[in-house]
Amino acid sequence: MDAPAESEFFKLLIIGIGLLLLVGGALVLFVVTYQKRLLQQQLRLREAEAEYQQQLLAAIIEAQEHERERIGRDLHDGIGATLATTRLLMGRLETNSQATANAEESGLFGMVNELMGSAVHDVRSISHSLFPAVLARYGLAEALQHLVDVSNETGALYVELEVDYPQPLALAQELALYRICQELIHNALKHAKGATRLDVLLRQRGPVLTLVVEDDGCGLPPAHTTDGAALIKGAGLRSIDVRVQMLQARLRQESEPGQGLRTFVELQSPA
Amino acid sequence: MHLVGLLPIWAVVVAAVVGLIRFRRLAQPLRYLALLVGFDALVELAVLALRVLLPTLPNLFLFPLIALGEVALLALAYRAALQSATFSRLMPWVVGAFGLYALVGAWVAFHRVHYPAAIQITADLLQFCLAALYFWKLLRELRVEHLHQDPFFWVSVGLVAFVLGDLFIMLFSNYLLAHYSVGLQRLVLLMVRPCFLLILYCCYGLALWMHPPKANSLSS
Repeated sequence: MDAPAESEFFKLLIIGIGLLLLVGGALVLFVVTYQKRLLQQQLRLREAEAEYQQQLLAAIIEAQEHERERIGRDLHDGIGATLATTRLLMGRLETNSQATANAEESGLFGMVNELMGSAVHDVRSISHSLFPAVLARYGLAEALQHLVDVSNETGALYVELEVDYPQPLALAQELALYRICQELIHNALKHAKGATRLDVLLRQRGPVLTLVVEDDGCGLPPAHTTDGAALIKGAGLRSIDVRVQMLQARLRQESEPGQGLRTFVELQSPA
Repeated sequence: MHLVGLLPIWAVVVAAVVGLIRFRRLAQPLRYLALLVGFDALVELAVLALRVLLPTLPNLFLFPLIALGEVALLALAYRAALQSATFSRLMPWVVGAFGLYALVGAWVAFHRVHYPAAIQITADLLQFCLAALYFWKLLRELRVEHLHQDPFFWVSVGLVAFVLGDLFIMLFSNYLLAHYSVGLQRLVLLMVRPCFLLILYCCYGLALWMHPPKANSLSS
C-alpha cells in the first residue's frame, strides 16, 4: 500500500494527536469532577455525623440534667422535708421536756438539733447543686451569683463575680454554662493551691459570650496548658469538655506555674 | 533552529532554576522532581550543543539512556508521592527491567543507527501509569481538597498531555522517518513534539513553584 501524501499524513497525525489529547483532557476532567463529588459526599457525611453526635450529646446531657433535677427535687421535697419536720418535732419535744430533763438530756437534745440542722443544710445544698432552681427561675446571672455566694460561704477562697449579660441564652445553654462554671469553681477551690482570690466573669461583647474563671494560685504545669482538645483528664474536666462541645464553644486555658490559671469559654450567642 | 524548538529548552531551564532555588524547602517527592528537571535541563542543553557543534555525530543511542533517567527519577518522585508499599515493592523491578531493555536498546542503536521508538513508547506508557496511579490515589484517599493547589496533580496533568501526544508521534516515528521528507520529519519531531515538551516542563515548573497547603485529614 502506498504511503499517503505528506500533507495527508501530517493531517492524520495531528488529528490522531488531537483525539488522544481529548481523551487525556476527558480523563483529567473526570478526575477533577469525580474527586470534587466524592469530597462533597464525604463532607455531607461528616456534617451528618457531626450533627448526629451533637444531637446525641445534647440528648445525653438533657437526660442527665432531668435525672439530676428529679433526684434533687426528691431530696429537697422528700428527705429534706422529712428532716425539717423531724427537726421541728425535736424542737417541740425539747420544749415540752425542758422542765423535767436533766443536764445530760438537754445536752443530747442540743446535739440532735445541731445534727438535724446540719443534715437539713446538707440535703438542701446537695439538692441545689443537683438542680439549680434559681437558674430556672431567675436566669444565669442570678444562678451564678448564688453559686458564688455559696462558694464564699465555705470561706476557702474569696470569689468575686462580674456579670455583663444583657441577652440571655436558652435554658439548656445557660444550664450547660452554669455547670461549666460550677466545675471550674470547684476545681479552683480544690486544686488552686496558694490562691487568695477567684474571679468569675461573664461578659457579652456583640455575638460573643465569654465566661472567664481566673485564680491566682499555683497554676498548671506548662504541659497542661491547652486550647481545648487535649484537656480531658478527670471526670470533671471531661464533663466540661462535653458541655463545651454541646455549646459549640471554644475552651482555652492560660497558665504559668505560680501565676494562676485563667480559663476562657467563648461561644457565639444568638443576636 | 526554530523558536518553537527552543521554547521547551527555556522552560526546562527556568523550571530547573526554580527547583534549585527552592530545593531545600521542597518536600521529598518534589526534590526528586527537581532532580528530574535538572537532568532534563542538562540533557536538553547537551543535545542542543551537540546539534549545533557536532551536527553529524550520531546521538540516537542517547535516547534510551535519557528515557531511562527520566523514568527512574519520575518513579522515585512518584514513590515518595504515592507512599504505597506495593508500588515501592514493585517499582525497582519495573524500573530495573526497563533499564535493562533501554541499555540493550542503546547498544543496538549505537551499532545500527535507527530511532529507538519502542523504548520511548514503553517509557511513555510507564509515565502514563505513574500519572494514572496518582489520579487513582487522589480519588481513593481524598486528602487533597483543592486539586489545583496540589503540585503532583499538575505534574500528572503535564505527563498525561505529554505522554499522549508523544505516544502518537512515537508510534508513527519510524514510518515517518522511512517514508517522508526531512522537512516533515523536522516539522513533527522538532516543532510538534516540543509543544508537548513545553506543556510538560511548564507543569513541572509550576509544581516546583507552588507552595502546597498542608494536606487535610478528610479521609482519616
